Amino acid sequence: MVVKCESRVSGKVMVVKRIKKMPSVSGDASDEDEAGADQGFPVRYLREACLLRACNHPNVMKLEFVTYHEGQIELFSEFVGLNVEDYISSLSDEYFTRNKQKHEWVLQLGRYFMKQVLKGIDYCHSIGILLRDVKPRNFLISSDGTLKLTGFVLARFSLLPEEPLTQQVVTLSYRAPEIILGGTYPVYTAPVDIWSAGCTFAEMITGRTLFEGDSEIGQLLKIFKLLGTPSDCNKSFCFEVPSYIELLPQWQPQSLSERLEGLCDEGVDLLSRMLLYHPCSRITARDALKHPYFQGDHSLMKT
Amino acid sequence: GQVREGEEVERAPSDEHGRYNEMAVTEYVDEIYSNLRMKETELAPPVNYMTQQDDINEKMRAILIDWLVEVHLKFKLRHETLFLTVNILDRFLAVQKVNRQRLQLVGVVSLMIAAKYEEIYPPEVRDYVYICDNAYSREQIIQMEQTILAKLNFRLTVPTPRSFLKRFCKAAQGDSRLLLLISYLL
Repeated sequence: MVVKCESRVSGKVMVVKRIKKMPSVSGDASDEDEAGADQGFPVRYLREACLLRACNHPNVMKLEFVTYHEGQIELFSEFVGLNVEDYISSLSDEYFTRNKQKHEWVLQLGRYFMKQVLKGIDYCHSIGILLRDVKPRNFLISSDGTLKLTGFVLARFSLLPEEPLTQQVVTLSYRAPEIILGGTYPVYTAPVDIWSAGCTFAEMITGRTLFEGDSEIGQLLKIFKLLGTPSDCNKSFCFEVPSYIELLPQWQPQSLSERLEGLCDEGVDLLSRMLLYHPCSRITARDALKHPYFQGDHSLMKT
Repeated sequence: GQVREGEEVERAPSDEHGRYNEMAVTEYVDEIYSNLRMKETELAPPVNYMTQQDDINEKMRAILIDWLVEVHLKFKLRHETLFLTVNILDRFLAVQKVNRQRLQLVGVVSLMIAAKYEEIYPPEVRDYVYICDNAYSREQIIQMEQTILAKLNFRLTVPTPRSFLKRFCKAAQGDSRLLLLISYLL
């Protein structure tokens, strides 16, 4: 449950995320019945709280403090407005193709937001945090147009991950191919966040999810259909891929600029670099911020 | 999912993986480590904190840590978890007086918090109750978790000796055997 509140001490408006009170310890929770029993502070929120506490950047949501009394957890963070997913769905079709002037506005705003998306990711990577759940829903827009990264439930602190990590990360539509293809314990790192950021970018421009698969294999098919089936998969992904991949249809890469109508050449170029199959060739957040797409003055036009 | 045929269930990360990982974050490595160094000085427990404790001493701490190492082995946890456990334990003992009856509780809960933070599949509360031979109840463990987290103010993203070890080992072009040896010495 999320509620808005105001601090009596500082007058600061904050958002409280109240996590459901866990079942009481005494009574019916016997030793056999571990599944429903109280495990203390839930793992996912423990990570979220600890990692957000470690961050300090204008494009990352600030977690002010956490309270934990008698099984009731409350996360107090700064107040930010709606998320990017809601922003996108609040725009009518008109904004994305039909009306030229409105479309231009969407394109400008897309660039403005994308820069902040990358700044937030760049910061997290620079302090060693892997986000693993970058998507429009996890970016909040504050009243002054600042984008704040949130959703650290799946994030983890991982510098040079030698140990394999879990596969159960990143919302399917934004999941990088190396996680889908990596088996039960794939090894991956920062580039997975860039892939997701690329998908977010395209979604802000077109108003539609870039790859919307209904299963892991379906997701892979959607990706290959647009970007082309890699001819030599082992080379494209830098690790051994499951053999079923050879049975997939051989698609030729489609034109990204057609799919992202209206986006300038620099924008298309940046996106194509964010969606490269090989994680090492994929552009980093740092380099993406230096890309020509972001050069020059792009302050927002008054509307 | 349903499309798992012909795929190995588990695949050990190969050297290829290692190279890929290094390449993938090279740009950030220096920054990550300088950040860690800063945090290390900021969040390290004071060396002489034991003098403020009345009921426990260094020797008890050593016995507790030996026991934690055993538990850590038994649960087959990651190295990082152990280092973080000791960090949590020391930082908590530096700010809170603990009597000797409850020292083991603090230790086991430090391990529980560290495991939750580091592991993919952390042990369950009942495992900790069992490992302490029912000396502490589930309720006590959960209560202590609450106390420790509040005292440390949820600052668990801390560098441990191991974070630096990996880096130094790479710089020295050591292989995994060297890493294991140093891990043991630490």
